[in-house]
Amino acid sequence: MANERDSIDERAAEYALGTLRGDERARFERLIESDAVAADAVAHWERRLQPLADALTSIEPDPARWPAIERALDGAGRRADATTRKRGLGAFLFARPLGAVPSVATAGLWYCVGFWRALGIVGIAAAIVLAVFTLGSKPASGPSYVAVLEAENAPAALLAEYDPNSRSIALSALGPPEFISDQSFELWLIAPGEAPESMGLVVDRSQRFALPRGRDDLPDGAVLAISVEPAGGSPTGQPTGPVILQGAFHPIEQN
Amino acid sequence: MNPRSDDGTQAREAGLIEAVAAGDRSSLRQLYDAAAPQLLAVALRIVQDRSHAEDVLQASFLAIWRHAGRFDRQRGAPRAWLVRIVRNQAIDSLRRRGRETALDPAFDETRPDPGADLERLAMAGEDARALRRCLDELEARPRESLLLAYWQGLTYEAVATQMATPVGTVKSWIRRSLARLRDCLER
Repeated sequence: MANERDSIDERAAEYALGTLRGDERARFERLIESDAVAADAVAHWERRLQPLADALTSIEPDPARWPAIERALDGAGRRADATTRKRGLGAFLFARPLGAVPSVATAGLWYCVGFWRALGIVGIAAAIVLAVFTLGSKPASGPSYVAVLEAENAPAALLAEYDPNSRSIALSALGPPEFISDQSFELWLIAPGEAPESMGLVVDRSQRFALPRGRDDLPDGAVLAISVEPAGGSPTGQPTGPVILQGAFHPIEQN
Repeated sequence: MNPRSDDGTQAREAGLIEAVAAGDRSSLRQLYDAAAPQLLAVALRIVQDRSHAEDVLQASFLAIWRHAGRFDRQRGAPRAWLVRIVRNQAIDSLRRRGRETALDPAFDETRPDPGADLERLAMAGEDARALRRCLDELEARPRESLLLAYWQGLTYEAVATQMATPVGTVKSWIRRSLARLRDCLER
């Protein structure tokens, strides 16, 4: 018994320190939920190590962050447990069926008014006009690229613009996004013949993404895609949910 | 006394988390105002990119909203509970972006200075001074490995790489250091 308790305390220490990872961490987290000894051990260790977190110098977040959190909560509707959240999602459904929807589970999101409002109910043409407008006003070195992310039958689109100067991709839509709290939208860069690389979560109506680590330029023939993922993003590092929008980059003539 | 850990602040923040569990959004806002600057510092130290750290902060507050019901003031300190959520979100987010650790040589914003952070420990509250004293009893390299693991959210492997030391050595440094810290703090 004493040995077992020691081992729980050791794992609690490593959990609080952050070095317990992967399956071991997941198993230990389940243990904390049900085992008071383990939960107390973690609380103890967190209290011991807390001064290390307190010692860091505070940093004021961007003032736009709180409104983004509120919008995400609004998208989720009233906070609820898993079962009522599902029902809440159902309330967002349109009646109209759509061929491209891969499963019933994600259909709710597809039809979610908030999500499409997030993208702005704009036609592709409007997005292209916006593309020409934004690119025309910018001095550029090296080729610029633009992609329109769209889906068959979808009434909306996102505009992606690659800036060779900052080696980043700006994503924009008209209207603020509203999200369902237990799902996230993740942006992927896909080079021909390669696995998708995550560029992060889409959380705002206009957002800039750095190229994935190790890329110093946009790959030829690159495609952007947005997939639906569990809250916080794909747990595997690869898309796990359906791709709801995608588009290829095309060069823009500079003059 | 460290304002983050005095009893009044703790009781207030525990009350806010309980109100959040009951669905009160204005309490979430108050919790954000009180804790977000520290939590952002914790996240930034781990992911080492400002906008990524703010994404982590945002995801963390959505998680706090959903999981506030699991907080138990009898069991843990509220700020430690918030820090746990942010650290786990930061570590998971790094892993999802294809890297276990952020070792970005270009990372410049609030460049980590473990020495200065350690100095602040000596000036903070009673708990912090006790921890500082016990950390000082450790040997330098094991202490550094433990601080790297905590502050930067590094795996054993990443600490080993950064310190140019075999991973087995790092594991035993950290495990022994944790045990010595516990014994020292309970003396």
